[in-house]
Amino acid sequence: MTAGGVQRTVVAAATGIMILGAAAARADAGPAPDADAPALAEQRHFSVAPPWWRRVLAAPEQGLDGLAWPVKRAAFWAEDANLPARVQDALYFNDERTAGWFPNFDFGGEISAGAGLRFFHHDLGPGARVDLSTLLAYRNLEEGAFEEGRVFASAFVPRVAGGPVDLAAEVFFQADEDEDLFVRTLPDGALRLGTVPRESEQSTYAFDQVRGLIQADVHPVERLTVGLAFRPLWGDVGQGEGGEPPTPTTVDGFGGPAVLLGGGPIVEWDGRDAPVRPRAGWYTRAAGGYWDAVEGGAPSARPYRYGRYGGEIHRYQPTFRTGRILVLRAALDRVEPFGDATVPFWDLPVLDEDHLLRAFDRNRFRDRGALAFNVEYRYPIWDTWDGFLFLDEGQVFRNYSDIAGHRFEWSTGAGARFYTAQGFLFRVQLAVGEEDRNFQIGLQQEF
Amino acid sequence: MRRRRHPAPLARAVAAALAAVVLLAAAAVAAAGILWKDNDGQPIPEPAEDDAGNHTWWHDAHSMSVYQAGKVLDLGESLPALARASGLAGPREAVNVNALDGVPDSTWFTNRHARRRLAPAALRRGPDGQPPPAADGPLTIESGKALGEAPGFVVRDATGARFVVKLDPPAHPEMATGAEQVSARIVHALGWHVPAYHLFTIDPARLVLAPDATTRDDYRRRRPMTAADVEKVLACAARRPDGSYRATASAFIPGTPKGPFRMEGTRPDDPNDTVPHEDRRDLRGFRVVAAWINHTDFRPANTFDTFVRRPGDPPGRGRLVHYLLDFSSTLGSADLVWKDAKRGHEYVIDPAGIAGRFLTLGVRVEPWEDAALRHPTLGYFAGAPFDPDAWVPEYPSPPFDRATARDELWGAALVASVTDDDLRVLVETAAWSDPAATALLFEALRARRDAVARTCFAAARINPADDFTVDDAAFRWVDRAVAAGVVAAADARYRYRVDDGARVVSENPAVPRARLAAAGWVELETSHDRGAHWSPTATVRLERGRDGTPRVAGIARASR
Repeated sequence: MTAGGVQRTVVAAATGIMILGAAAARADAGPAPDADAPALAEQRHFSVAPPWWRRVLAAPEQGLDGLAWPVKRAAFWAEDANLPARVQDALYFNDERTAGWFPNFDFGGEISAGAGLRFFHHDLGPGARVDLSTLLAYRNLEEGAFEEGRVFASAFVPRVAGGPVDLAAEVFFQADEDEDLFVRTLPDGALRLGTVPRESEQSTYAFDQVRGLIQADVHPVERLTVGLAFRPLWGDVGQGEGGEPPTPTTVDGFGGPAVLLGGGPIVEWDGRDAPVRPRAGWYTRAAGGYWDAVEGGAPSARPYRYGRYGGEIHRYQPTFRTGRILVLRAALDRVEPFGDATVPFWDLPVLDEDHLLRAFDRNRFRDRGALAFNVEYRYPIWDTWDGFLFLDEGQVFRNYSDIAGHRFEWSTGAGARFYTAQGFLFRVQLAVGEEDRNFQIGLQQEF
Repeated sequence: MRRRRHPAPLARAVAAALAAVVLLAAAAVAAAGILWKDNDGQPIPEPAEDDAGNHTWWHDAHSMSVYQAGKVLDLGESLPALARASGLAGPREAVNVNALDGVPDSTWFTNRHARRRLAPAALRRGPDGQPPPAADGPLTIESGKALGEAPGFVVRDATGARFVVKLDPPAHPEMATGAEQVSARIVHALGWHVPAYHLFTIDPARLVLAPDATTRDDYRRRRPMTAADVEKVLACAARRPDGSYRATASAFIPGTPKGPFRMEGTRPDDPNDTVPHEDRRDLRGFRVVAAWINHTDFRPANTFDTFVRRPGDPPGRGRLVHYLLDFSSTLGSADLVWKDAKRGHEYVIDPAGIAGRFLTLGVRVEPWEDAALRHPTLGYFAGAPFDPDAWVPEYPSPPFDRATARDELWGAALVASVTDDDLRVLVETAAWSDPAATALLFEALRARRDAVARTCFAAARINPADDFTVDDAAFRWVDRAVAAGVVAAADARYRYRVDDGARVVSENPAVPRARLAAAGWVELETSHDRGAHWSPTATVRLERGRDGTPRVAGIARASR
């Protein structure tokens, strides 16, 4: 069916619902009056009967009532049947409601949209809990990929917590035929990433990857987490199917499939007053690691072997009134190749719309280092909703000596974050920057 | 927060003149006397039960979305509203008012304390004819409680009388039951129909489960009620050290239940119901009373229609009588928890408030943000911050939306009829074990009552002159603001004009009889700042008895 056909069908259906619903809504108003009602009403001291023109003027409202009528009947049925109780009973495996399953959604971020299932059991012993989640995701919904029904990515995430060691694992699969890389080919054939390419120097490539994670955490003291992660990677880059020029195949990262093994330590200190909607406190995280290719290498025949380190620190600073807070964030992500080795471009640090430089296209800036500073002012707009203003400043760099004030890119904007009493729900935001503006809806609470 | 918009001066003057003409003409027609008894209790066939209003999910969602959008889409509503906002039309006034701008007794409302003062004992007692549960004998549990959040059940006492029993939550002993006692008595004293709410003590040893007792399961299906169900209810209730439970027993309302009444339109199968509910003065004016006692949970599910037959009715016929119910979530109580300090200031979902806060970046400090817990039994209920004009229930209510300055003058007159002494009697019915809580409640209600009077009797928006009488010496009236003690008598001035005569300024609310002569009307204005500013007019039509004595035949009030 064409877009116009769909539109006409929707309009026709809505009109039908409106007319039939309006009639049904009128019937809902109650039974017909008794035959002697008019005579009785005649005797009343006070009586108001709307004139015909008043009923005509009310027609648009009657139409709205008609549209709402099916929802009304559904709401009546759901309340009469206590639908939430039935749904909860279907979702939980036990009366204590410590085990069950939930639908799992993701939107925005590294993947565009995804859905899956989460299974959990939180009463396996003193404090012991297991979570298992899966996700199937799609990219570029607006371009019709969803209609084709093609799986773009999937994640499988089991977690075990509550014992002396928390264990988490993750397998993430991605098969995307239109990833973007911003790259400039210099006259001598050399390639430049980072802040050099303009927005127009966008190229496309296909990318399949499998990322794994096995992580063990301990908590030597309250709020402190020390962990060790093993992160294997498999990646294969090919020619993209997007409308942009193809990514030059000489960039490090092409050259056939590569398998990298690596990992390293993680240290996290969470001194916030609440993890979901923090109002005060500090959060800091540092991670490091080493990766080495056991298979594959760059087109230049250089091997992939590099170290990676970075961290971030957040300060949640109360201001003049309860709930009005200033959030300061600084983050560094850095890879360092060893010797004559190199780093595949697809594992370089990134700054873009998903990495807190919110006005910029996905994968806009990639290089061996990424430095970002974010300031957010958050304020309550409803019981569990916050508004926020933000300013992002960030730059990617090849060497630390490249970092310069004038090379920082910025984006700014506003948005709202929505929570439930239990957790983060989603955020909407509008970011503007030097190159573009970007409206986003996301299910991730980035900080 | 929302404040009612008032029309521009020129339009107000035109509207006032038109209203005066219409009302004076109506008063002339009604010269035979003032209507104080409506005839909406004529025998009608028994209507079907209509429980649509008990579906709170739809009501709540509808009132915040479809209803709000419908106000714009109904051009018969929105165009006049636009005209009013731009000053081209006057307010759309309530329908069921008599020539004195009062409300006749009806199946909805009975003039009580404000017209004929109730004795302290009557205030304390509440509705007549519904005695409390028997002090001895079994309390037989017949079923679980169908609606509401408070733990409870339906019992029958040794005399056979049935009651809905509600208990306090463990975390807030005495809170909800106390709120219900006080607020129900206030609402009853002011004129609305409410069931009798009795405070009593349940000795669990008296509880007996009826063999055919039923309750509803998690899916709201009816099933036999078991001892475990009773234990579950009691486990959710505040238990006293001696093992007993403090409870409210609300007597079953006489008649056959017919479901909640609607807040908009009329009931098609009730021929007596000829006034759209949103245009009823007794529902519009209730907004002021609801604001006073913080009855934010005013919605159809907390109302009740009952079909009552009386001796002499034709067979099968009777009439619907309309009740207000469930006052346990008034004052500072939200049944199981303290009422959020935000309630009364904003709807549950208030797009204007949310948008305003978003755009003002959190700089604006909302009045509830600084609210302090007053007392564990009273929650956040306090005399301030409280703006009667800005007060709203949890969900938009059509009668409250339509309330005009005249409706609120009427409602405020009811509120102001409760004196400090009356209030002491009423708050003591909470029977709270801590006298400090009772004292705080008294202070809060007194402060809120005075705030209501200051707002609704303000000369800037309406002429607060009322209770007009003619005696041998003078034509007199009561300045409601002065009577309520919110304006000093020394600051009040009155300007009147008899027929087309010259304006006369007086320090006393009276016109000497000598000036009336054969006057047909008196136009009054009131000032509360010694004549610097004057209120809109109130035009009083006079008529002559057979002996030539003038008497009040009607009032036309303008408002801003």
